[in-house]
Amino acid sequence: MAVIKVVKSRNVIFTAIIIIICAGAFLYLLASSSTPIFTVKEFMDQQQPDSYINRNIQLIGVVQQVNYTGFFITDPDDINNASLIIYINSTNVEKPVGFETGKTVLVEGKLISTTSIWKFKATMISTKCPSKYQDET
Amino acid sequence: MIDIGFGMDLGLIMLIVALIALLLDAVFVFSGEYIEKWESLSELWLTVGIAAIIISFSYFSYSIISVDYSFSYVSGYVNNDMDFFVRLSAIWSGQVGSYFFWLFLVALLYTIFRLMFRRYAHEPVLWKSFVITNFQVVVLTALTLVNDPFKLNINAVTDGVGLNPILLNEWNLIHPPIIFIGYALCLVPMAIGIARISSLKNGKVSDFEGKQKLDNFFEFMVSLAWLVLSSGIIIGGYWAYITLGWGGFWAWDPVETASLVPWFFITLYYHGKPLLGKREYFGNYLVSMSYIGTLFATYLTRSNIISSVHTFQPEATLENVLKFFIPANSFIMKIILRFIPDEWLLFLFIVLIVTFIIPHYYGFKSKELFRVPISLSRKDFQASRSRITALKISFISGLMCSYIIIIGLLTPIIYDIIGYFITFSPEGFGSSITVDMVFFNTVITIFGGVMLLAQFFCTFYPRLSLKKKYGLLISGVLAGITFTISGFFYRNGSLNQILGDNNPVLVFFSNFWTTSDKANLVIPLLLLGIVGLIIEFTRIAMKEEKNLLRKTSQIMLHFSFLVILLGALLSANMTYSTEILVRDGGEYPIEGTSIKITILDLIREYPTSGPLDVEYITKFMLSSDTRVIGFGISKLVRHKRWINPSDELSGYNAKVTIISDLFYDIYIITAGFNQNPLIGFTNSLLRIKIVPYINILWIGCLFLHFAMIPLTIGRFILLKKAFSPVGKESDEFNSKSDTSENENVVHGGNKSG
Repeated sequence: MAVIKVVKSRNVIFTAIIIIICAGAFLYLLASSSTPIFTVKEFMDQQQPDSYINRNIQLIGVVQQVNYTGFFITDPDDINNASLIIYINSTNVEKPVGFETGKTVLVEGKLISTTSIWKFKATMISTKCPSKYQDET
Repeated sequence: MIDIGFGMDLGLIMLIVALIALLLDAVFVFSGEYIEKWESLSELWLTVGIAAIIISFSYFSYSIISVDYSFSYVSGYVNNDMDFFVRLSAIWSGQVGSYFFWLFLVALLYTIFRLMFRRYAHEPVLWKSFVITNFQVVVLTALTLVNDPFKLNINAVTDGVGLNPILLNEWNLIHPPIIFIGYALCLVPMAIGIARISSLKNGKVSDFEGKQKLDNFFEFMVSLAWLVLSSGIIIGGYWAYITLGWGGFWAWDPVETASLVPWFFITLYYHGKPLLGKREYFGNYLVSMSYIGTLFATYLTRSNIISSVHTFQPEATLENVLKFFIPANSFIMKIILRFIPDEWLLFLFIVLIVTFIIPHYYGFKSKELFRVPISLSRKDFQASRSRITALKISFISGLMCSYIIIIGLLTPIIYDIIGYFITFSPEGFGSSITVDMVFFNTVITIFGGVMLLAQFFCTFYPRLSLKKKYGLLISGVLAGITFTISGFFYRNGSLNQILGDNNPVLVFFSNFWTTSDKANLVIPLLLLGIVGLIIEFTRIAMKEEKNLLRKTSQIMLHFSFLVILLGALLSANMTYSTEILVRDGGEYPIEGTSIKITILDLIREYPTSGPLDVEYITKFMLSSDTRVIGFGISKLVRHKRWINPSDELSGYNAKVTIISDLFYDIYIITAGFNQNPLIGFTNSLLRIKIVPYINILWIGCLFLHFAMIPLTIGRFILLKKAFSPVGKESDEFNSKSDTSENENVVHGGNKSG
């Protein structure tokens, strides 16, 4: 009986260790795959925006003034606020179909600078499924 | 519009009638045996309710097709330029329209279910199923009603907003309804599943009158839901591939991922059947979870609680209601609003939570949830059990994968809630997070990898001895490692230097090395599995064994998944894209390939009528060194409706042109243009993407249907047989032979895993 108990307790400990390792790996994966997401206003209101320089983040904003190297985004809730504007450098980034001025987009990439006009280098741009904007209907 | 006064329309009245009738149906169904002749009374109100729903939905659809701008829904989603079929797709393109369509489907299914089993309504399992189904239909009716699909416009409207140009295509007519039908089909199996779970005795449902018929109906509905959901997901992926996502068929967007959850649970149901034996809890639990998964996916889509490209924007008005009871901006208010932004979504949230709690509650109560075969013991690793152990490992991996994906989906909400509790402030951590596709890809890679390896002991080469299977698996792993290492050296150029650029072996393999080491490692194993399945398929087909349909379908299902995976790995990791500024008559090689593009014409057109302001047309020819691949036209158009006068670049929409070859697709889109005031349209900027081997993926999807359709037809034949006069007799007398025959086909699919 004592031998069985020892074997059983060993099995339990072994199983517990495996579960803890797997859970740890899973949490690490989850943490490393998580990206902060902000609207333009939320992002510009951050107390230490410079801490996000060269960190991967996602921004939600409305596309304005598109040119061949990039475009500006403004806050979705305050489109005409000239102080809430970020320049997105989008060279070599595929623009999804539906990307155009006035559309809300999700831009993933890194903050480059916060001096004068805030600059952001995009690595991925996605648009929302267009039927789902109630404000347009 | 048929105004009946009080600012109300006939359609709305019909919806109100439907809700009242269904509530009365609910009263009689809930009361059950307490009221004499409850079945007849309940059926009477059900008939009134379903008739009202059919009338109001038909009227709603007609108002859209006939462009009746009296309704704000019509003016919001239809305009004068839309043709009949596009108008038809507007029925489900808006928030309330999709609720209504879903209601119409579930109400029809509920009625069919009631009519088919009216004789057995007194049986507790069926009675409970009716109660659960009725509850879902009533809630959905209420949800549709409060969102008011028949809201009238105050002012006269002559032209509506219409759908966005991207949705003006045939896929919007096909993909959403198929997904909704798939979701609706999960409803009745869920109700039966929960009713069975609540009636378990020693892990089994006792015999009752009509049990055989109900079992056959359940199996048929589950297989049909599986088929339709698979089709819906695949068609959605194809639509994204050709239109929306610029070549991406799957982006792990939260709503896309959530739509996989119901499908995962049904797949697990089929995969787990041989392991679950005669204990009926977990099979029914998995099927119930498939419908709960559809509610979960719907809730994510409607509530926008997780950032997604598919989400609707809710009104976010629950705060206005709650502020009378809870201080605005308070901690509790923040937590509630994080889950439920809109008071109408409260309906859906409650249904989701209640439906989720019931099967778990019974699982805990009966302790059946702890009897699920998800642990491995030493006994499982005996040689004689290798097949069933492999199946068990696959099942456990699939189950863990599903739940980890759900946790991944919910992580942004969990993060915010933890933030509120840790900081004890309504601001939480000050920012939200999203979980990117790296997480989901890694989870799928790990658990999919385990499932793939397990299949070597289960499905791939079932007639080989265990020793040979080990040998085969080790060979596959070694081939994968060799392919990965050689691929790495090919990418950094070392292999080319050693063997020379024109070495035939190098040239051959260069067509298959992807840019991902993980993919290179897996590809030889996939190919080995595919070969094994083809050999097994041929053997079975040649020998004409018993249960031929089941066995061939089973092999084809596994074959399809492997082919889909192979196509996904190759195409996703070998895609190449570039941009070229072209002019009329120019010839441009596409860097990194042997393909070149010749510009045949650049045309700028100003249509005199129709919705377009201007079209920039680039006509081109694609050719390789040896042959012409194809001709195409790439268009950049400007829609009058979407022009913003203050923005020169507004209103443009580029249509994707795809030239398909056997081994690759070439995507071309006009991303921009140069025009000169004197000589006109001079250059067009073409964005070109080459997606190799994508057709392998679509072929896999096609094969998946070849495997699923016969299975569904088989289930239908069994269902029909159960309801035939012979079937009735056998059911009434509980014929042993009939039962065993059906079991052999219905459950036999799992005997060999």
